[in-house]
Amino acid sequence: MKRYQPPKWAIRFLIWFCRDDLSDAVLGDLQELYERRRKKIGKRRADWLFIWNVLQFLRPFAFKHQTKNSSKLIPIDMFRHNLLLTYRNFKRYKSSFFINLIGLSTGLASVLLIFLWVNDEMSFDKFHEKNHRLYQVMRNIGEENNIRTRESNSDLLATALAEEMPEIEYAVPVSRVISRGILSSSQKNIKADGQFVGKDFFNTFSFTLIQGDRNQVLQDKYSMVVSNDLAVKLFGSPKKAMGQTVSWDHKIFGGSHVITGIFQKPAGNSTEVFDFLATHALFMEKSPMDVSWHSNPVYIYLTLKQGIPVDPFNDKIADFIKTKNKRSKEKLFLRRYSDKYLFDHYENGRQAGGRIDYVILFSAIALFILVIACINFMNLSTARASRRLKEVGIKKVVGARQQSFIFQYGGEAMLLSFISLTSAILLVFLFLPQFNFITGKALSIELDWNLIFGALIITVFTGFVSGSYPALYLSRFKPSEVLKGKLKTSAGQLWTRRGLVIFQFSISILLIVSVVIVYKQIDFAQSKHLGYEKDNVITFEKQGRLNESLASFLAEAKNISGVVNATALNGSITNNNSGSGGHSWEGQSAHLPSITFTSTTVGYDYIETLGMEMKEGRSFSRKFANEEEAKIILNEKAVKMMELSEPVGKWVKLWGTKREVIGVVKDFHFQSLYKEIRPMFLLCDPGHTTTIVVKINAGFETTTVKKLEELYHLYNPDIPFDFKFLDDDYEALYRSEQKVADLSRSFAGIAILISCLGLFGLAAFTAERRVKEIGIRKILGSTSLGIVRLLLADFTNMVLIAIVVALPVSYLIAKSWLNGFAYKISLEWWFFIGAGLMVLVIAWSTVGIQAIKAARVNPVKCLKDE
Amino acid sequence: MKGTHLGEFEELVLLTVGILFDDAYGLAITDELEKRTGRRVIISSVHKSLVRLEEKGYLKSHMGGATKLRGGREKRLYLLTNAGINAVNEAKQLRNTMWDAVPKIVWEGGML
Repeated sequence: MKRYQPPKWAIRFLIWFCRDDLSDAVLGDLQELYERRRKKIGKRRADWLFIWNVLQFLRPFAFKHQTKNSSKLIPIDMFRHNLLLTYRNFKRYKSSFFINLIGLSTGLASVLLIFLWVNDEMSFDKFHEKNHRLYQVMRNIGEENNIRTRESNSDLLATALAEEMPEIEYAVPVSRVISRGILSSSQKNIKADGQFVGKDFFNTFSFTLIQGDRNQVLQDKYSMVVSNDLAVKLFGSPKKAMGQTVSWDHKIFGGSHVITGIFQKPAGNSTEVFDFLATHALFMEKSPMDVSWHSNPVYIYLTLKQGIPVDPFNDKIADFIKTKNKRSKEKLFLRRYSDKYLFDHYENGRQAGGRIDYVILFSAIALFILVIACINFMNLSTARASRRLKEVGIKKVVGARQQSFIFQYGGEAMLLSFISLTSAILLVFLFLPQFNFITGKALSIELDWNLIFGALIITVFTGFVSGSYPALYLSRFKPSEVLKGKLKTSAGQLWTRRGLVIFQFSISILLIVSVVIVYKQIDFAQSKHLGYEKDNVITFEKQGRLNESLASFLAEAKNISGVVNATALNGSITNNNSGSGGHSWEGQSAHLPSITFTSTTVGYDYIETLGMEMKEGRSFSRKFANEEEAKIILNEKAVKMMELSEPVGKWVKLWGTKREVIGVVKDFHFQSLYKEIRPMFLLCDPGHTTTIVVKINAGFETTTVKKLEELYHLYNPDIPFDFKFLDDDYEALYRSEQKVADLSRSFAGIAILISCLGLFGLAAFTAERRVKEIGIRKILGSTSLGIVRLLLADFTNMVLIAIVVALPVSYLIAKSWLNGFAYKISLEWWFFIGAGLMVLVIAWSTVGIQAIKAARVNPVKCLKDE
Repeated sequence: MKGTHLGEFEELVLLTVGILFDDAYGLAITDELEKRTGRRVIISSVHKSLVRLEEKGYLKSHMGGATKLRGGREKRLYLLTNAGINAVNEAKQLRNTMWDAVPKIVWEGGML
């Protein structure tokens, strides 16, 4: 008869914990039960029940326990004993306990918050099913001594690649511009953002279609896919919306569309955000001048077929553009689509960080804060070691080994860090809304394994880091010495403690300097003269009837008192990163490399409204109304790079048409200060503008905007007047810097707070230990001031060393951060000295409280006992 | 007082040990209890009671009766001690006296 075997490990486990006189009988019983069940209910369930039965014996009666002749201490009893000692220790030295608790829980809370944030950042764009083979086609453009990396590509590239490269499964173009416009059903007008995408969009990305077939929805040129929300707003429900016609009010792309599909907005974090999708075929039809190998109006995403390695494929497509356009110096390569969000910055053709820098930065800050809190624990417990001398001595004499001390003191730290975890979780709940406000995220605490696991690992790490040094330190005492009351604090140990304090303060100084510099740079960006005036300017979209009657609207707007001037443009004033190359001009020398120009199409009065200055020539004028569309204005940088002398009157050939240069505008910033001003030109074509710009007299903003709104509604009674201030737009360019600054400020504050708590504890302890010395000094005639100075001296030295260590490091870090900006503040010495002084003063006031208290003690009292 | 009180479950275990006489070991007792009471009995609870009852001196035990079915392991076989017999007896007596103290009218359903 065959015998069945229950899980062996469960048997071993039972033998391990169960008392010997019981285990055999119990195992026999369970085995018998197992045999019986095995026949009835099969192996799986019988195994489970066996394990369950074994676990049921995890009750005190069944545990091994100490018998009288056993010298081995059972872990359970030791554990209980240690727990009791820990509890008494906490109770007895409440101040150290609270200092540690506050420090560790703020530290842990900071780490948990940052953990949530990092988790969220890392999750961007990873929800697509084909994530591991979803790529974006990128372009490296060789310039004279630099390589520029661009995300955009030609309209023609997607189809060409898909046709010629068998490795590609799907390739889709997605328009760079997000076209905002009004979508109208028979009942409603809704403002929405849309993009133009290739027909395999839904095969490439995993946006869910709730209506429509993903192979079909974008087949017809005039089809449109709208979001669930938008469908409900326009037609009441997604089902009703299917097959309906919507009209889209947009100057260039507008027209009638048929809704062929409804998608669900993605639940995960996505860089692609849109309300509706129109077809790329339509995009090409409506902007035919862009359809060429010279113009790059789209992003191209592709999926490789299963099992195609990306590196050889990269080599294969590198020179693809050259086969289409011989003069091109562009090389193509693929980037993982999920890297788009975090790794978005390129320098000289190589990946150079991006948002990932902030992820790393804040992870580092979190780690530092936690370590600072751990250091408090280490310092306070080693400093107070003298109080536990007798405990250690007696235990060792009785026979305790070193590892049992390591276990005890390590356990103490572990316990404290778990207590801190609970209060840290409370803190996280408390501060999460504020944290969300600063970071602009909607983080929430969801109990998933990721979070639980993360929190546990962080807590165990904290316990381990803070407990290991004290445990090793305390357990090394020699019983013969400590019982006689001798505790030699060696110089090494003293320096370890000092070194740790120095480390804490160095980090704090570093953080303060960083905060100062980031704020200064933001302030600089905010107040720098940009070459145009961004204050009191509002912008809004040219919609509805404004498209036909722009000139009359602008004329009427200028008549409003309070309006200084009004104009229109196509695109963004603050962040224009368009680019086109392949242009030629009069007197162009052959050796010049191809120049990529940024361009803006504007209406009349553009230069005047934004307060730009002309260097030479004239700006666009209504006087020559019919001819202006064939003219061009360059900026200084363009003139310089084109090596033109006397540019006015010369011609520049754009897309096959010669245009006469009528003026040169002084350089102005049309991008963030990260970027050098690039060559650019202005074209005049009021019909092709999308945004209206109005300059208002300072002080009359509210009333003037109101009058403008009334005027706007005369033209567009149904469309809401939705305007923005230009300086807000400009500020938005530095939003991530602003966030970094705000967050660093909070965390710098926390770091300082925790460091000072530690210092406070140490100072209190020193004052206590030296109380007799102070008493004697006072009797011998020392003044209170002298004693304060005595107590301060040691700490002052530590902070001074910290300053010396931290300042060069912070200088280097600040310098490398500022290097990212083309236009930046210069580093002033007082940023650094100021931060150092600030920390010194904070440290003094912390220690000072203790020192003054100690100095005012009555010598009679402190010398009396004994 | 610890050690003399007999819980309801312990009393049942003692009685079962009596019933099974020469084959009273953990699993058999569990089975018998389940059969007689109709409740689910957890085997570790039975062992716990057995250990405690032996500590109290109501039971004695010896090893024996290994079978292949048990993976060659011996059973711990329990027997009632005199003290154990007394204890069950006392429990029964207690019940009886209390039983008798209830007025007859209650049993006859004479709720007024």
